[in-house]
Order: sequence, then structure tokens, then C-alpha cells
Amino acid sequence: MKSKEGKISIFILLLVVSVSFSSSLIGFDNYNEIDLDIITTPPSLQHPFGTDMKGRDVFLRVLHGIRISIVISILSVIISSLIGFIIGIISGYIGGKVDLFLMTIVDFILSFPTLLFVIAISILFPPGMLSVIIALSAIGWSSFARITRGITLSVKQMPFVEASVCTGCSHTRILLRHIAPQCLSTIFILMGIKLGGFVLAEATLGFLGLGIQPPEPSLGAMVSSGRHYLLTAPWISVFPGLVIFVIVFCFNTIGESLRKVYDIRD
Amino acid sequence: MVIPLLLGITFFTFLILKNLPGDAVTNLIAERSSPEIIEELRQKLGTDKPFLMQYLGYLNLLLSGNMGKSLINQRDVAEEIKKKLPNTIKLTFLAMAFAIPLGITIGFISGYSKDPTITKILDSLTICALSFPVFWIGLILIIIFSLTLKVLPPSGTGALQYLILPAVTLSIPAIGNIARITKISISEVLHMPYILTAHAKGLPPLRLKILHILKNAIIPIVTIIGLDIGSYLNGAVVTETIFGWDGIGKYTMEGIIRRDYPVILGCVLVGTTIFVIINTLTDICYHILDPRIRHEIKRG
Repeated sequence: MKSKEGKISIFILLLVVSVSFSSSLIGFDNYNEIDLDIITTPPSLQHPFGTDMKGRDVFLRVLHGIRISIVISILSVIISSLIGFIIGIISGYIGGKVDLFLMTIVDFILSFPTLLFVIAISILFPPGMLSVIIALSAIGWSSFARITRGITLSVKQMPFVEASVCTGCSHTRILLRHIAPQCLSTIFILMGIKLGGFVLAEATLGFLGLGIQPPEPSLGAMVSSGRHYLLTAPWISVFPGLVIFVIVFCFNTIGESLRKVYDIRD
Repeated sequence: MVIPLLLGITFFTFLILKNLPGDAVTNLIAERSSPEIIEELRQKLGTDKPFLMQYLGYLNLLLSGNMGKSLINQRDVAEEIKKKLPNTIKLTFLAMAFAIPLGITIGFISGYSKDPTITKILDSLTICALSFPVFWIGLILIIIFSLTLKVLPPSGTGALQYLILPAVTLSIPAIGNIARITKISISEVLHMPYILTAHAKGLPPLRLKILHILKNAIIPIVTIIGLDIGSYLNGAVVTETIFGWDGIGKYTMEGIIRRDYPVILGCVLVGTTIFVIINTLTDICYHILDPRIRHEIKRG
């Protein structure tokens, strides 16, 4: 990582993530505790982000929301990259009609409005963590497939692949031992680039009520729940949204520096 | 290409919707109706026929310009879409009217400028624009302009003052997208030998910027603008929902939440058609902007 912004972003992200994950370990885990005596109190030392309409501490809920958001995004990015990797490598290696067919699907997904797609898929399953992960992965694999295919196409023509064909390697061996390792580094970088978008998409699904269901906190759903209290208790919406922004901004900054350093197009 | 695509889309949407749990018949009648009544209703609605027959029936309906009626309020889907589409078009065009000049300017300066601080500031602004959760920006704008300053209405459909906040909200990610692509495209063109030649022969800077740099960098920018317009016309789901703007996006979202299948099918169909039209228009733009593409196609 050469750029200064990238370093700062990594530092902020690590800080946010470690605070949110460690808070549950040291006992700050009563994020669902309802206290009707202190509903909608403004931010104070005791409640840094204030309390919501049920008297729950917004800060603790945000911390838990971050945990959920990060876990969902990372899982979805891993699943997407696996699916995309397999489809891309097959598409590039076999070529011909299979390639044309698979890449038409990829182009279609990449060009169609992502959010509508994600919403449509998420309603096919009962709302919850699983439906969000499925919806995000069902769309997310396409850019991984596209980039893996590109690398496979160029690696396929290298002399060492020809040599392994000559020495009688099977297709599986060529794919797994010779072509796959060449794709890995790019895939890891693309995972970093894509994470910000996944966090944002998860938050949007939560906002629309299609993500993690209440009372479990999700950052997007918290912004949505404060919508009717904008005048009296804006902090219910403002802080979770700000946290989403900070996380996505850091991921995107890291992604942009990765893109610059490794010259990756997606 | 367009017609098989639309057929494919309607087929798959139909297939998915038909396989979802719950069907129209059991929704319509009471829980303890006799099997005979259920059977009769099935025959009347045609849900007893094989899947393919049902699909052909739906296509037949579409050909006569009909999209069926909403399961919830019995309103004609085609009529509703006709009423809401102009609203979405207005919103999209106003948003793009903000986003295109701003995005291109930011991207151009960031790509062209040799001052690292300016580039850095503009790049961070671009990443900011891409990182804002749209729904949150919408709420912040409502807090500032509607609740605190009280200059613009928080939500509703109507005259221009209702349109400004949603359009600004919608334009922010578009500004980010356009600026990013413009910057990448510009900095690529800057390395081309003909730019050096143009510099060397002493072209006036403005002419150089517009005729040589922007003109050659324009294709990816047009692509991203086309994609953004296409997706906004398909319904800026979140923005329209927050601001209560009565457009296609809000309609689709309502359809999805209430499982109103004819509404979802109609919106998907109209959305895909619009999307294909915009893509074709973008292709036509390429031809106008870059004669090389025209020649390549002529040569086959």
C-alpha cells in the first residue's frame, strides 16, 4: 500500500472493526435492552449516540450493526469470488459457445440496475442474514467471473500451458495447477475493491426492510427506524448512516488505491 | 435482439413468480372453502392450466396492451405505469442535469490537473459521492432543507420544489460515477502521442482540452451516463420511497413488498424495455461521436 489515504483508511477500519467486535467480548452487549424511561435522549457521555424511541442505546446498536454488516459483506464477497472464479475460469478455458453464453449473462447482470436485482432475489427467501448473503452473491459473482475469464484467456496462450498440454496433463490439472494460481492475486485485490459496495448494498436492503429483521440491529434498518423522528431525535438516523458512510468510504479509498497500484479494471 | 430478450425476461419472471409460495386462489377465498369451490375458481382464473398455457395467455394479454390488474387494489397496471412513468422521467432528467456537467468537470480537472493536491481533493470528493448511502443523504437533506430551513417540502409529488431534493439525492452517486470514469478516461488520453503533437504545434489550451482530449475520452463517459439513466428510469427505488415521489421505483417497491405479481411483472417488463431502448440510444451516440465505430460496422 503506497498511498497515505489508503494507510489512514486501513487504520480507521481496523479501529472501527476491532472496537465493534471487542465490545461484545467485554460485556457491552445489551444492545436490545429496552428502557422506556430514557426514550429519545440526545447524545451524552453515557449514551454517545443518544437513545432511540424505545430507549435503546444507539451506540451499542451501531456497534452490533457494524459486526453484522462486516460479517455479511465478507461472507458475500467470499462466496461471490468463489462462484465468479469457477465460472470465469471455465468460460475462459472452454471458450466458444459456452464462453459466449456465460459472458452474455455476466454482461447482462453488470449492466442491469443492481439494486432492483438484489431486491428481487432477496424477496425469494425469508428475510434475514441468509437472504441478504444470497442476494448479494447472486449479483456479485459477475465482475469476478469477468476478470477471471480475462486472465484465463491470456494465461491459456502462455508457453508453459502449452508445455503442460504436451506432457499430457489433464484439463483439471491444467486448470487447477497452472491457470488458477495466476488468477488468485487479482481476485484477492478485486475482493478488497468490491467490499465497500457490498457494505452499501447490505445497508440499503436493511433500510428497505429486506435485510436483518428487528429487533436485531442493522445499520440500514436503524436509519430507516429514525425516519419519523427526524425533527425530535435526528441522532437515531444520523449516526448509523454516518457510520455506514465512514466504513464504505474507507473500503472505497483502499479499493481505489489497490486499483491504482495493480491497474485493475472492472 | 430486443424481442427475444424481452421474451426471455418475461418468461423467467413469470417462472419465478409462479414458483413462489402461495397462489392467487388461496389468497382470494376463505380458509375453509370446499375443494369444489377452489376448483371452480381455479378454472375461472385459469390457474389449473399447464404453466406454458398460462404464460402464453399472459403474452396474449400483453399484445393487446394490457398488463393485468393489481391483485391488491384491482387497478389496471398499464394505466398506473403510464401515470407514474412521466414522474420518474422528470426526476431522472433533472438529476442527470445536475450530475453530467458537475461529474465531467470534476473528473476532467482531476485527470488534467498536474497539481497533486487538487487531484487528491477531487478524488476524495469522488469517493465520498460514491460512498454515501443514498437513503441517508436523502434524510440529511430533509433535515437541513425541510425541517430546519423550511425552504423545500420534505416529500410528495408535484411541482418543481418537490423535485429538487430527490433529484439532488439521486445525482450524488451519479456525479461520483461520472467523475471517476471521466478521470480515468482523460488520464489515459493524455498519454497519447497526438496530445503531445497538439501541444507541440501550439494549439490554444481550450481547443486542445475540448477537441482533442474530451472528444477522445468521451465514449466511456457516455457509456456510464447511459447506464445511470437506464437504471434511474427503472426506478430509483430508495430515493422515490424516501421522498414519496410517485414514480416507477416506488411502485415497483410497493409491488414487491405486497407480492403483487402483475405489478412486479409489469414494472420489470417496462423497465427492461426502457433499459434496452437507452442502451440502443447509447450505441447510436457512439456512432455519432466516433466515426471509427461507424466504419468498423460498415466493414462488417
